Amino acid sequence: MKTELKHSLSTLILAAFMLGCGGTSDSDPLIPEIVSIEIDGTDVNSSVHAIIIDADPSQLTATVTYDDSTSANAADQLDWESNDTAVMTVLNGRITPVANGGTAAISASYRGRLFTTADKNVTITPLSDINITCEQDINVTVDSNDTLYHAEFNTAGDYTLLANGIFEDNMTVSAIGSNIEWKSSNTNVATVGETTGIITIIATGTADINVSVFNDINKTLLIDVNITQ
Amino acid sequence: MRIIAVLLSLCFSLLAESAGYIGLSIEDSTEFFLLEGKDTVNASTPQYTIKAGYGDIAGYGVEAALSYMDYTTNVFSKNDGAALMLDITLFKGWDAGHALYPYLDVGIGMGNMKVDRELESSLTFSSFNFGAGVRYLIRKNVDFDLGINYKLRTWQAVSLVSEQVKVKSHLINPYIGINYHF
Repeated sequence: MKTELKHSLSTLILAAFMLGCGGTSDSDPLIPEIVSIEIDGTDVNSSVHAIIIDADPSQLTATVTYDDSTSANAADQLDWESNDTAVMTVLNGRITPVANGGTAAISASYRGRLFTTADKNVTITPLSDINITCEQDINVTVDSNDTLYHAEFNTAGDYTLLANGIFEDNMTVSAIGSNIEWKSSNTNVATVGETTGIITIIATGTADINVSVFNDINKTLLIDVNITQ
Repeated sequence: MRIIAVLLSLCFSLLAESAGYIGLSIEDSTEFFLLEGKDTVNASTPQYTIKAGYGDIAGYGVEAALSYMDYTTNVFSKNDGAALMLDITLFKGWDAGHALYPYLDVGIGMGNMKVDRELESSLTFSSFNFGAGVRYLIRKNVDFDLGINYKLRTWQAVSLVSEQVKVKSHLINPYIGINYHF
C-alpha cells in the first residue's frame, strides 16, 4: 500500500513541478492602469463672476489618462474641494461663488488619493454695482448720486423688481438670481419676496424696498403708493 | 416540511457510511476572462489544491478545498500575483464496481488575488462550480481522483475612476488528485 501511495504522490509532485514551470508573461493586462488625473483649467480662464453668467465656463473637468493612451472624463466621480469655502464651493467640478470676490484653490481626489498634478486656482470677479428696474411698465428713477431709486404705483397687485449687476470687468448680468435679499420697510403698504423680488402692492402709503447682494452691495427703492382704483 | 425531510435524509445518509479524508490535487486550465461588454483574455494557470472532506465515497459528501493558483498571463495589472481560493463542494458518489466510484459535485467558493494597481492591491472573487469525476480505490484507504469541473467566477469591480469595470471569468478544468480516507 505504501509503495502505491508513494508512487501516486510522486506522480502528482512531478506533474505539479511540470505545471509550475514557466512564469507570468509581460503582456498588457485586460484592464488599463490609471496614469494620471488632471483638472482641466484652460477654459476656465482662472476666473468666474460672482454671479454666474451664461458666458462663464464655471464647470471644471477632470481627465483620467490610462496607460493604453485612452482617457475619460471623471468630474462626476471625483471628490472636489475648495480650500476656501467662504469664497467658493465646488461640486462635481461646478463652481459656485459664495462671496463677492476672492480666490480659492480647487483640488480633486478619488478615494482619498490626490492624482492631480496641480490645484486649479479660480478667482471670482466681483460685482461692483447694481441697479434696480421693474419688469412691468413702471418708471424707476434714480437720484444723481446713483444711490436712491424711486417708483410710483397706482394699482394694487404683483410686480417684479430686477436687480441688474455690473462687474469689475464691465460685464453685466440682467437679473441677479442668487446671493440676493429683498426687504420691505412697511409690509402694510407692500411686501416683497425675499429672493424673488416680486413686490405685492397692498395699500396707499410709502415704503423702502432694500436689496442687498452678498450683504455687500445695497440699494434702496423708495416706493410711493397711491391706489386710485 | 419537505425541505427538512430532505435535509434530514441527507444528514442520515452522510452519517451512514461516512468517513473523513484528506487529499490533494493538481490541475492546469485556461480561464476565459470577460470584461463586461468589451474585451476578453485567456489566462492559463496551474492550480494546486489541498482538501479535506467528510462523507461516503458511494454516497453524499462535503468537501472543503484550499487552492493556490498563479496565472501565466497578466489579467488585472502588469504584475498580477497569486490567488488563494476556498471552495465548499457537495458531492454525490456511486459504487460502480471494480473499485470505481463516479460522482457529481456542485459548490461555491471565494478567493483573493494579489494585483498591483493604483487603486487596488488585491481583488476578491466568488465562484460557482459543478463537475463530475471518478475515484479509483487503489487501496482500502487511498483513492485516485480524476475529474472535470466548470467554474464561473465573479470578480470584484476594478475602478478606473470614470467607471467601475466588472469582470467575469469561467473555465473548464480537468484535474487529478489523490485522497487518503481515515
